[in-house]
Amino acid sequence: MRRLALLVAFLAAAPAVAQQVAPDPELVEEGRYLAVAADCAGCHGTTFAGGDPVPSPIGAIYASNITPDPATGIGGWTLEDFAGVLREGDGPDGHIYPAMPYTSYTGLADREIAALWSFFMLDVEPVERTHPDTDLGFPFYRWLMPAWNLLFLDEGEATGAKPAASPLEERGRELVETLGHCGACHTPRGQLMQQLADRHLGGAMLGGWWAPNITTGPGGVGDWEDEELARFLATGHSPHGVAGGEMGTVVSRSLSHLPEGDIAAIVAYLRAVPPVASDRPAALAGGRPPPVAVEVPADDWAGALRHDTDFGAQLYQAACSSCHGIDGRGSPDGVHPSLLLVTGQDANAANLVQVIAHGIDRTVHGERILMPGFRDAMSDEQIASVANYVRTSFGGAASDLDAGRVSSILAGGLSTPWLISNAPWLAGLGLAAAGIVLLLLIVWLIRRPRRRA
Amino acid sequence: MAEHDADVIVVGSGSLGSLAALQIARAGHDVLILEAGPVVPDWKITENWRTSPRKGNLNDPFGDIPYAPNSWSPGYVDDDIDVSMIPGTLTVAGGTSRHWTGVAWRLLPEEMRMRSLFGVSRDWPFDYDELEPWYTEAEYQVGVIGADETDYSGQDRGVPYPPRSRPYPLPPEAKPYALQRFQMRTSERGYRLLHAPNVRLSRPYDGRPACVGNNICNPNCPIGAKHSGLHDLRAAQDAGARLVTGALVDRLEVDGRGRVTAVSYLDPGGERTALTAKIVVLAAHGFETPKLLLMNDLANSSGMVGRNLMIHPTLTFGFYADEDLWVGRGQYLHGANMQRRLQPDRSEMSGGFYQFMNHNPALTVAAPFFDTGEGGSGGSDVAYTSRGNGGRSRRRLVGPALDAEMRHRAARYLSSQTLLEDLPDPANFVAPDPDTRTPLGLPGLKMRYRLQDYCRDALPRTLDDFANWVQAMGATPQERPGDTWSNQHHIMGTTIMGDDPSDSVVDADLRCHDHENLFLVTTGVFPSSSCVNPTLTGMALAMRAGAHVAAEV
Repeated sequence: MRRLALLVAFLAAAPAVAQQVAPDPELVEEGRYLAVAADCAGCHGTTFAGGDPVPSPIGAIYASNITPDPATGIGGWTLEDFAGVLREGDGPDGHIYPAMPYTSYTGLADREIAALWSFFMLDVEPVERTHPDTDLGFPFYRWLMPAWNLLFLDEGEATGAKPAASPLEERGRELVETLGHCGACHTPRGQLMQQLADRHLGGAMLGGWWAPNITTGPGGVGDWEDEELARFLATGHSPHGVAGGEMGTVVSRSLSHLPEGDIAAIVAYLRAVPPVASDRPAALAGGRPPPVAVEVPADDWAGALRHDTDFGAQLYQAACSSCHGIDGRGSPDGVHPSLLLVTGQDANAANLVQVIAHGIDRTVHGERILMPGFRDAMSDEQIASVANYVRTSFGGAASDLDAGRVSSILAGGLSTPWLISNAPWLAGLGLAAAGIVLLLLIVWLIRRPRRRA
Repeated sequence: MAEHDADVIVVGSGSLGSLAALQIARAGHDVLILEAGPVVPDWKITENWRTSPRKGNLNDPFGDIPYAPNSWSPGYVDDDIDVSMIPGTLTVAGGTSRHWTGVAWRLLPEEMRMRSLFGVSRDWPFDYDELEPWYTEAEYQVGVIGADETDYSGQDRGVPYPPRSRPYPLPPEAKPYALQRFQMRTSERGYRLLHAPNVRLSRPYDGRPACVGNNICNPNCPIGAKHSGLHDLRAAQDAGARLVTGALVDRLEVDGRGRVTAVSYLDPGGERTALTAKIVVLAAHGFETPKLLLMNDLANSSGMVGRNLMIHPTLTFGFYADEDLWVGRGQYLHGANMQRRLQPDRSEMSGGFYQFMNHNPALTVAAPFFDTGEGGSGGSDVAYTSRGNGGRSRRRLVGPALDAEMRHRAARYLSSQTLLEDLPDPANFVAPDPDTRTPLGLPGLKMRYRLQDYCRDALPRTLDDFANWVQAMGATPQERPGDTWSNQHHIMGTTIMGDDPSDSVVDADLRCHDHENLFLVTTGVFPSSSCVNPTLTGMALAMRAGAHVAAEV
């Protein structure tokens, strides 16, 4: 009823657009599903009125208001405008940055774009909300993006998409490459922030987290059972790892809402993409030793209030073992994850450090999974010690984290390509050079001999 | 700012001081918290508790700090009391609620009007409706779980009571098996078990995980599911409050108009620092707050500072049931019987309530074996009868037989406490003790307490209930009500609140009658003790006082 009322109001208010929208409830439902699979809320917020700034190595990028509010949202757009943004990064307000993954969304079919359009126009509440303009400064101007697009946008073809051998893989490709835009995090980027085609889905550092290699190559998910991978995608939980940080919210908002068939399709496609060897292979080689619980002598009672120990076993047993067990095996029902497979997995230990510091907070189907963080209770050195302890004793990996490394991981170190971080002066130099050339040209024009005089 | 070191100085970083500081900092003012003890993270307390051989001593894991003794530091309190326990206070960042069990009761409206309705104790200077929004504020701040549709007066009138403006932020946890059995078997005698609201989370809340049943609520939850004052201190710091630890405040300077001009403290090395602020909040709990005032001869024109000490006299009892109950799964304390809380005879004897203990009883049932080698009286009759031994055995148990017997008893043990309302009596007091000195040269503490007939007269009623429960559970008594008179770690009355400056220390806003810029945020301001755990009420008062202070800076 509400939807009908909205539709009537909408038809009255925006007849020009309404003509393009078939009020087809099926299409709206399809659009709702696509918006979930594409995790639009991830950047634009659960009301779609624009979310928190998305960090990028160049600066904060503000996700826009994509509710049908005519003044501040996309209520004044046409279907063509909408399609232009999704496929070419080119909308009524000009070009946008590829933080909005249009190099992936460009693979959307006409019907899918119409479905998303129907959903946003007919079912999303208009919210009046402006957001700050994204200002990345010189020389990263939006009008320069067509040049970038010329190099890196393959219109109609989601970036990195590989051939599919079956309808199941094809469906998986659509979910992974086009809608899920997995490569946006899991594919490392080159000097111009483009996704590197030959390292597609091979793992990348992002905001102090390691977005792992999700191919079957060394250091990837080849040793995960299909069922384990499917469960991880649907719930964020597996013996190999749990979803934390951004991946935790991707599972909460998006993946956990996909039907089983789609999850199976994602798994099938990920098995089929060309294996990439991690440039950070898992530290663990060969067989995994059994976990060792190091014996901790009781502190001298006079030291009862000293809490500056850097003895990892002591920290682990005091702060972590109540849930993860003295031997790191977690609880028998798996609610408290075993640390055995998790902690040796990730060679640079960034994710382990992040989770120790900030915990886990993920809601799947209304059930909230929370591990508290220890940022307030431990120094960087202590976080390094406890991470080293679990990695060596339970993960079977070599580990030599120190306070400096922990501090740089937690600072979020977005690794910025050389070209990007030096772009202002390079571009300045370039412009200066161009200016000099122009000047010389003018001088030459003025002073050239007038042979035909 | 330039003329003061801070807008507001709060002395004490416990839950109440931190919640007041949080309110003031949120309003944009500069707050400085002075804490006598050190910062010790929760993981260290868990480790200390595990390695301590003194599991029954809740203060033990918080260490022995010579420069900042707590009420259980040997020699610090010179006591003259006829109940079993000096209330345990802590001197550590986060305060004494670092080791609270986490029971979060509201008072009943009637319990704030005891003088008017029952002719005993004192009335509060405002009524329940005034406090209700602040209860709600506090409950949402610290994460209280509770059952909304409950009449906590115990009178079963079919309406939720006391009234609430919002539901509890979180639902109650499941009722453990032992209490399900107890409810089933005692209900036909008219007993009703209610959920006891508490701060041990049933769902994740505010960065804290849900309880998973480690069953170590005291002294310290090993996973942080239980709220402690450390959470409130972190919240205040996140809101901008500054913290100085190792600051033993011993002097308050006052100008000719009675305004506090400076707060002066010693650090652990004896170095002195004096700081100024527009407003000073003392939140050093019910012992140290009056002690500090008496050391400086402040706020005491009524002569009531340190007096009217109330500590909830308590009867503890336990029995072995005729079936396995498996107490010890889940949290320390779940259920409560409130039927003795609001009876018409409250003018003659204490109102009280029963709380059912759910901590692992191994220590309790093992103690008699180690004391006598025989396990004492009580449960062994049941135990040996069920094994066909017939009658009490005098055999000394060792090895596997001892293990089996202890396991058997631990499975069947159930214990309860009734907390009783005591009355404000100036003859029950705390005061500085000039005869003892801490290593920094500060005085110790004297404590005097006499059990009142008002409380003693609740014993026959308690024995009746106990007898009923023993019969209903086919039980063998192990500890009877009245074997000892115990008490709680609840300290009330020592900086009593009231409208009459000749008879009370602070006014309804927790401002000292004698000093317009000095506020006391402590459960010491309670005019009456009700019978329930005071912490949540203290938190509500702290948030309310914090708002008053913030408006006045």
